[in-house]
Amino acid sequence: MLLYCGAMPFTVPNCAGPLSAEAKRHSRLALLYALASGLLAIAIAMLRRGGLIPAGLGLVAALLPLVPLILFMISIVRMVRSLDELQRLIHLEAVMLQFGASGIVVMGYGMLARAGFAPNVTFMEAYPFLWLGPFVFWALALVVVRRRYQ
Amino acid sequence: VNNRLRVLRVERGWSQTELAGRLQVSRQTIHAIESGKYDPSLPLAFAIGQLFGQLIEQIFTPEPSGPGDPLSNGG
Repeated sequence: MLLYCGAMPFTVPNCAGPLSAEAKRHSRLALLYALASGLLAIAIAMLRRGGLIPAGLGLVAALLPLVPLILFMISIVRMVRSLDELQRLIHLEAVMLQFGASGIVVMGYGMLARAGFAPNVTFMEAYPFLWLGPFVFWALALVVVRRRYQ
Repeated sequence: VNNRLRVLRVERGWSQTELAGRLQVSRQTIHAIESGKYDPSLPLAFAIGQLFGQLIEQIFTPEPSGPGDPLSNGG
Protein backbone atom coordinates (compact mmCIF):
# COMPACT_ATOMS: atom_id res chain seq x y z
CA MET A 1 0.00 0.00 0.00
CA LEU A 2 2.87 2.33 0.88
CA LEU A 3 4.47 1.67 -2.48
CA TYR A 4 1.21 2.09 -4.31
CA CYS A 5 0.41 5.33 -2.52
CA GLY A 6 3.88 6.64 -3.21
CA ALA A 7 4.29 5.56 -6.79
CA MET A 8 0.78 6.20 -7.98
CA PRO A 9 -0.62 8.73 -5.55
CA PHE A 10 -2.41 10.29 -8.46
CA THR A 11 -4.80 7.35 -8.66
CA VAL A 12 -5.47 7.01 -4.94
CA PRO A 13 -7.44 10.03 -3.70
CA ASN A 14 -6.78 9.39 -0.02
CA CYS A 15 -3.02 9.09 -0.46
CA ALA A 16 -2.31 12.60 -1.64
CA GLY A 17 -3.80 15.92 -2.55
CA PRO A 18 -6.34 15.94 -5.32
CA LEU A 19 -4.67 16.07 -8.69
CA SER A 20 -6.01 17.04 -12.05
CA ALA A 21 -7.93 14.59 -14.17
CA GLU A 22 -5.17 14.91 -16.76
CA ALA A 23 -2.50 13.85 -14.25
CA LYS A 24 -4.61 10.90 -13.20
CA ARG A 25 -5.11 9.86 -16.80
CA HIS A 26 -1.37 9.98 -17.54
CA SER A 27 -0.51 8.06 -14.38
CA ARG A 28 -3.01 5.33 -15.26
CA LEU A 29 -1.55 5.15 -18.75
CA ALA A 30 1.96 4.92 -17.27
CA LEU A 31 0.88 2.03 -15.08
CA LEU A 32 -0.71 0.33 -18.08
CA TYR A 33 2.41 0.74 -20.24
CA ALA A 34 4.66 -0.56 -17.45
CA LEU A 35 2.49 -3.65 -17.11
CA ALA A 36 2.41 -4.10 -20.89
CA SER A 37 6.19 -3.90 -21.06
CA GLY A 38 6.61 -6.47 -18.29
CA LEU A 39 4.08 -8.86 -19.80
CA LEU A 40 5.64 -8.46 -23.24
CA ALA A 41 9.10 -9.22 -21.86
CA ILE A 42 7.78 -12.36 -20.13
CA ALA A 43 5.90 -13.48 -23.25
CA ILE A 44 8.96 -12.98 -25.48
CA ALA A 45 11.18 -14.84 -23.00
CA MET A 46 8.74 -17.78 -23.07
CA LEU A 47 8.59 -17.76 -26.87
CA ARG A 48 12.39 -17.66 -27.05
CA ARG A 49 12.65 -20.57 -24.64
CA GLY A 50 10.24 -22.53 -26.83
CA GLY A 51 12.26 -21.66 -29.92
CA LEU A 52 9.25 -19.94 -31.47
CA ILE A 53 10.98 -16.71 -32.49
CA PRO A 54 12.33 -16.77 -36.07
CA ALA A 55 16.06 -16.11 -36.28
CA GLY A 56 15.59 -12.92 -38.28
CA LEU A 57 13.29 -11.41 -35.66
CA GLY A 58 15.48 -12.10 -32.63
CA LEU A 59 16.76 -8.54 -32.32
CA VAL A 60 13.33 -6.99 -32.85
CA ALA A 61 11.77 -9.35 -30.32
CA ALA A 62 14.47 -8.57 -27.76
CA LEU A 63 13.85 -4.83 -28.04
CA LEU A 64 10.06 -4.97 -28.41
CA PRO A 65 9.32 -4.41 -24.67
CA LEU A 66 11.09 -1.06 -25.02
CA VAL A 67 8.18 0.31 -27.06
CA PRO A 68 5.65 0.36 -24.16
CA LEU A 69 8.52 1.39 -21.90
CA ILE A 70 9.14 4.49 -24.00
CA LEU A 71 5.40 5.22 -23.86
CA PHE A 72 5.62 4.73 -20.09
CA MET A 73 8.38 7.34 -19.81
CA ILE A 74 6.41 9.77 -22.00
CA SER A 75 3.34 9.29 -19.78
CA ILE A 76 5.41 9.93 -16.65
CA VAL A 77 6.79 13.16 -18.13
CA ARG A 78 3.31 14.26 -19.20
CA MET A 79 1.92 13.41 -15.78
CA VAL A 80 4.57 15.51 -14.03
CA ARG A 81 4.02 18.38 -16.47
CA SER A 82 0.31 18.39 -15.72
CA LEU A 83 0.92 18.79 -11.99
CA ASP A 84 0.81 22.14 -10.24
CA GLU A 85 3.99 23.89 -9.15
CA LEU A 86 4.17 22.44 -5.62
CA GLN A 87 3.53 18.90 -6.82
CA ARG A 88 6.30 19.30 -9.41
CA LEU A 89 8.64 20.54 -6.68
CA ILE A 90 7.71 17.52 -4.55
CA HIS A 91 8.48 15.16 -7.44
CA LEU A 92 11.77 16.94 -8.12
CA GLU A 93 12.85 16.59 -4.50
CA ALA A 94 11.71 12.96 -4.47
CA VAL A 95 13.70 12.17 -7.62
CA MET A 96 16.77 13.84 -6.09
CA LEU A 97 16.36 11.70 -2.96
CA GLN A 98 15.79 8.62 -5.10
CA PHE A 99 18.91 9.35 -7.13
CA GLY A 100 21.01 9.64 -3.99
CA ALA A 101 19.48 6.58 -2.32
CA SER A 102 19.90 4.43 -5.44
CA GLY A 103 23.52 5.50 -5.77
CA ILE A 104 24.26 4.79 -2.12
CA VAL A 105 22.69 1.31 -2.29
CA VAL A 106 24.48 0.38 -5.54
CA MET A 107 27.81 1.78 -4.33
CA GLY A 108 27.36 0.18 -0.92
CA TYR A 109 26.62 -3.22 -2.38
CA GLY A 110 29.58 -2.92 -4.75
CA MET A 111 31.90 -2.07 -1.86
CA LEU A 112 30.57 -4.98 0.22
CA ALA A 113 30.92 -7.38 -2.72
CA ARG A 114 34.44 -6.18 -3.43
CA ALA A 115 35.36 -6.75 0.23
CA GLY A 116 33.82 -10.22 0.16
CA PHE A 117 30.88 -9.46 2.47
CA ALA A 118 28.25 -9.87 -0.25
CA PRO A 119 28.00 -12.23 -3.23
CA ASN A 120 29.13 -11.02 -6.62
CA VAL A 121 26.17 -10.79 -8.95
CA THR A 122 26.15 -10.61 -12.71
CA PHE A 123 24.53 -7.74 -14.56
CA MET A 124 21.69 -10.03 -15.65
CA GLU A 125 21.00 -10.97 -12.03
CA ALA A 126 21.14 -7.39 -10.84
CA TYR A 127 19.37 -5.55 -13.60
CA PRO A 128 15.74 -6.20 -12.49
CA PHE A 129 16.69 -4.58 -9.17
CA LEU A 130 18.57 -1.76 -10.88
CA TRP A 131 15.44 -1.08 -12.90
CA LEU A 132 12.84 -1.46 -10.16
CA GLY A 133 14.93 -0.03 -7.33
CA PRO A 134 14.73 3.60 -8.42
CA PHE A 135 10.94 3.38 -8.69
CA VAL A 136 10.69 1.91 -5.18
CA PHE A 137 12.96 4.67 -3.85
CA TRP A 138 10.96 7.27 -5.78
CA ALA A 139 7.75 5.99 -4.20
CA LEU A 140 9.26 6.06 -0.70
CA ALA A 141 10.82 9.49 -1.31
CA LEU A 142 7.45 10.87 -2.44
CA VAL A 143 5.90 9.79 0.86
CA VAL A 144 8.75 11.43 2.80
CA VAL A 145 8.81 14.68 0.80
CA ARG A 146 5.01 15.05 0.87
CA ARG A 147 5.11 15.04 4.67
CA ARG A 148 7.24 18.19 4.60
CA TYR A 149 4.47 20.14 2.90
CA GLN A 150 1.53 18.77 4.89
CA VAL B 1 7.10 35.19 3.22
CA ASN B 2 4.01 35.72 5.36
CA ASN B 3 0.59 35.77 3.75
CA ARG B 4 -3.07 36.50 4.46
CA LEU B 5 -4.41 33.77 2.21
CA ARG B 6 -6.22 31.88 4.97
CA VAL B 7 -7.89 35.08 6.22
CA LEU B 8 -9.02 36.07 2.73
CA ARG B 9 -10.29 32.58 1.99
CA VAL B 10 -12.24 32.29 5.23
CA GLU B 11 -13.71 35.78 4.69
CA ARG B 12 -15.25 34.50 1.49
CA GLY B 13 -16.39 31.25 3.09
CA TRP B 14 -14.36 29.12 0.74
CA SER B 15 -12.84 25.78 1.63
CA GLN B 16 -9.25 24.99 0.68
CA THR B 17 -10.57 22.63 -1.98
CA GLU B 18 -12.77 25.34 -3.44
CA LEU B 19 -9.92 27.85 -3.55
CA ALA B 20 -7.64 25.21 -5.08
CA GLY B 21 -10.23 24.63 -7.80
CA ARG B 22 -10.48 28.35 -8.55
CA LEU B 23 -6.69 28.62 -8.82
CA GLN B 24 -6.32 25.26 -10.60
CA VAL B 25 -3.83 23.90 -8.08
CA SER B 26 -4.04 21.04 -5.60
CA ARG B 27 -5.54 21.46 -2.13
CA GLN B 28 -2.14 20.52 -0.72
CA THR B 29 -0.64 23.56 -2.44
CA ILE B 30 -3.20 25.87 -0.80
CA HIS B 31 -2.56 24.26 2.57
CA ALA B 32 1.22 24.57 2.13
CA ILE B 33 0.95 28.26 1.20
CA GLU B 34 -1.41 29.05 4.07
CA SER B 35 0.81 27.31 6.58
CA GLY B 36 3.90 29.07 5.27
CA LYS B 37 5.59 25.89 4.12
CA TYR B 38 5.64 26.93 0.51
CA ASP B 39 5.97 30.28 -1.21
CA PRO B 40 4.06 30.41 -4.50
CA SER B 41 5.63 31.34 -7.80
CA LEU B 42 5.07 34.85 -9.14
CA PRO B 43 2.40 33.72 -11.67
CA LEU B 44 0.47 31.93 -8.91
CA ALA B 45 0.85 34.89 -6.57
CA PHE B 46 -0.54 37.15 -9.32
CA ALA B 47 -3.43 34.72 -9.84
CA ILE B 48 -4.16 34.80 -6.09
CA GLY B 49 -4.05 38.60 -6.10
CA GLN B 50 -6.36 38.75 -9.09
CA LEU B 51 -8.81 36.30 -7.53
CA PHE B 52 -9.08 38.32 -4.33
CA GLY B 53 -8.89 41.69 -6.10
CA GLN B 54 -5.80 42.76 -4.20
CA LEU B 55 -2.19 43.55 -4.98
CA ILE B 56 0.40 40.87 -4.29
CA GLU B 57 2.00 42.97 -1.54
CA GLN B 58 -1.37 43.25 0.19
CA ILE B 59 -1.47 39.48 0.49
CA PHE B 60 2.19 38.51 0.74
CA THR B 61 4.61 40.34 2.98
CA PRO B 62 8.30 39.58 3.46
CA GLU B 63 9.42 38.28 6.82
CA PRO B 64 11.58 40.67 8.86
CA SER B 65 15.07 40.51 7.38
CA GLY B 66 17.86 39.06 9.46
CA PRO B 67 21.64 39.50 9.46
CA GLY B 68 22.86 37.74 6.29
CA ASP B 69 19.88 38.86 4.28
CA PRO B 70 21.25 40.66 1.21
CA LEU B 71 18.30 43.03 1.27
CA SER B 72 18.91 44.13 4.83
CA ASN B 73 20.84 47.27 5.60
CA GLY B 74 22.74 45.69 8.42
CA GLY B 75 25.61 44.22 6.41
